[in-house]
Amino acid sequence: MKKVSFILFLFYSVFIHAQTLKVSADKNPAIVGEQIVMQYNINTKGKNFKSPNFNGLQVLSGPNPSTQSSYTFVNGKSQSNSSTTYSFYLKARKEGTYNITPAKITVNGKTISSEPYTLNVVKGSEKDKAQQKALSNSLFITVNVSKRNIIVGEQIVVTYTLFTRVDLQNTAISSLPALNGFWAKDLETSSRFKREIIDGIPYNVATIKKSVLTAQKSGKLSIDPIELQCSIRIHNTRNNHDPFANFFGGNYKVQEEVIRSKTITVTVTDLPSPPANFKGAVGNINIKSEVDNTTINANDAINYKLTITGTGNIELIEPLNIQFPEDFEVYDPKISDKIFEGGLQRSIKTFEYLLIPRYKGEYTIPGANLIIYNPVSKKYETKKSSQHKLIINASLNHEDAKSSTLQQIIKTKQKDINYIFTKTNLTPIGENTISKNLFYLLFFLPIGLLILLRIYDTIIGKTNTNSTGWKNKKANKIALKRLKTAQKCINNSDFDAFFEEIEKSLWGYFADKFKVNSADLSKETITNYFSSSKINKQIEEQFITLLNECEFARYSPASNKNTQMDTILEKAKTIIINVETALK
Amino acid sequence: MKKSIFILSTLICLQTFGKATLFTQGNTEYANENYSVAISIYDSIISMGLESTALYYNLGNCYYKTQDWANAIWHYEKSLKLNPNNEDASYNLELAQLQIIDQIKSIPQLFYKKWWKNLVHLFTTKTWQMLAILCIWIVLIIQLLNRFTNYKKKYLPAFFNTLALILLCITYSSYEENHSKTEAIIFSSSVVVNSAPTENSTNLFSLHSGTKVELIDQIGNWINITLTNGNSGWIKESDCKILQ
Repeated sequence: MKKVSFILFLFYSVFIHAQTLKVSADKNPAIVGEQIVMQYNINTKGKNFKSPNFNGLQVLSGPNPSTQSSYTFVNGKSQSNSSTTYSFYLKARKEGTYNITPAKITVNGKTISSEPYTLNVVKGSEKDKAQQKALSNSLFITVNVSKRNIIVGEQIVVTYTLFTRVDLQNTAISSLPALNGFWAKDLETSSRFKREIIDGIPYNVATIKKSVLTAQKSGKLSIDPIELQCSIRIHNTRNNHDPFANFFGGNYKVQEEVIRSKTITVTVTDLPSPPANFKGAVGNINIKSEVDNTTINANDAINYKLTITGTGNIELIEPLNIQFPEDFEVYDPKISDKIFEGGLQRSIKTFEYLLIPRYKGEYTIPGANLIIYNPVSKKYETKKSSQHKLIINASLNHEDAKSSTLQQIIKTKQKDINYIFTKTNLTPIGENTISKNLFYLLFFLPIGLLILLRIYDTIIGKTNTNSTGWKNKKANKIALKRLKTAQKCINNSDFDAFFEEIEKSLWGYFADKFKVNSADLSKETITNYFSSSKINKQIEEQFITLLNECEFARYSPASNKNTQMDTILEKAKTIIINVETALK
Repeated sequence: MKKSIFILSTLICLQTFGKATLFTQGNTEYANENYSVAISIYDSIISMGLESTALYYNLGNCYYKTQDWANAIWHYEKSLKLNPNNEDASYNLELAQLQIIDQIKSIPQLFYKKWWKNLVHLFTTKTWQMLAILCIWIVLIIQLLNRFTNYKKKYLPAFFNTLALILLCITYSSYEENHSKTEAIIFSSSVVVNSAPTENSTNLFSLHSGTKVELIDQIGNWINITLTNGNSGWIKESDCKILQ
């Protein structure tokens, strides 16, 4: 017996430490449309709670975790407890048996699973059904679409409106509409309830969501429903007389409901064949341009504002290609848009360009062109903004004025090859140069001729006395060389030195020419050598006379020495030349 | 006899006239953007054995317009060979070179080489030849004058002598540039450059059509090329078209 109790005790201790995930539902079986609360409870702290698969049951809310802790101190023994509960609010749309898969949770690294749970849902009585229907009549969402048949690029406004007659405690959008093929922009809505009476029944009406949708592709595009989770406060009729409950407002119970709107299909058709510069602007759009100043000084700023207004996909319009003058410095535009402010009628997009003209002159900013498709007239239209004439005066700032006189580099935007030549001079191939052989012939022929001439001169030149011109030249050269110092003396009017020099030159010339020793120099030797060289007697006499004259002039005072010097120099020159010629 | 000479000369006249009209015909086809027709007309002029810098330039333009960059570059280069001062051709060549795949950064030439090249490119080879010949004949005439008359100029012949010598050098350089096989344009769309003139030698790098290469050597149908950036290797002769 003792043994058994011991074993039991062991079991017990194991029981205490094993955690289980308990599952329970507040009602089983439940009725269609009823709210069911399912709870998963564990008596310790856990992590990573994994929701079960509810297999067709609608989850209104959950998992909503709640933790309880208690600490007890009894007879000196302390004990602490904590438990966590995950609750789900469910709703069944159809009757049947729902198998709920186990939920999982991790405790101290171990994964604990709950038991699978089977929930039976049965059809409710007529009364319950009527209750449900009454609820759907008193709480619903309508979808309003401005147009059902549109073209690509056209815009529609979708408005989701909540109609309610029940006491709504809280609402939250649980699922947003999926918008495949649309570009959406939400508009601001006021969530305040307004009272509206439909068929004599008063409703509280609020706009939940308002979007502008721009169709991006053609075809049948569906706007998926929006889902709204509502917490409805229902008066509890059972405990109507509980004063405490009444006092604390606890006489109510909260019912979770999910309502959804209907799916709406919009037919989008393609644009008719668009022109080349069409960028996708669709709608009734106008374009306007403004300039804040038409007369301005160079280097001051101008604001150029391009405003696009109207209905349509204005927010998708890219900055237009405006041909600003080359001399303007253009900054990237400041873009601002107000989409659908003031309803469907008006969207405004502005491009503000900051321009700085750098040089004085008269300039024109041409108008900007925007091609749009007008869905009303079903035609493409070209909208043009006005052009602006600007008068730019010289800059007032001196520094700037100076810089503006700097030359501008001519910019070529696109590079293309130069045009072909229209005229040419065709030559046979390879004949654009003189052939190598011909060239060498023509080049080296004159050189060869010159060399031949030189050889001829050196061989023939010595014996040939007939070439007087050549000889004269040589003789002249010799005379000049001899009388160089004498010439210098004339320039200095040095009388004595001059005659001495002449005499010296003549004697020197004679000595060199006939290879006479300087000791043997006398007038007799002159006669001897001259006659032996068959030189004319006249020349010999002239030579001696000149020597005498020089001697005489050196030692006698004379009146006009300057003229005498010139004549004597001339005489000396002719004598040397004569001797030279006579010798050859 | 005189009559036959006259007939012959008119025949020659007619022939050259015919070629000139062919040229203008090519120009009109170019203006009408029938580039391939223009190419065939211009080519027919070349096949007659005639050429000119303008003809090659126009052909280059035609190939440029038909986006045949290698041919365009080849013809512009050819046009520049005939007249190194053809500014239009050098401009268009630059544009065409932007279109090709290989962008080779060339090593800058030494300043004196560049000056020399610029000097040589100042005139066509023929002009240089004429100038050199003229110079040397002037020297001859002056020397003869000195020899046989009293007309004496001592330094003039020396001056012309030096000038003639310089001109000879320039002429030689210019002639060599035009007549030796030194450059080629790659025509195959992609060529692998080998390290040796054999099929299974190491592949060094690859070149694409339109790239200009310099020729160094030739063994059989393999040619040794070097690029302006200094790389060199062997390719087959059929992959490129030699500028000659």
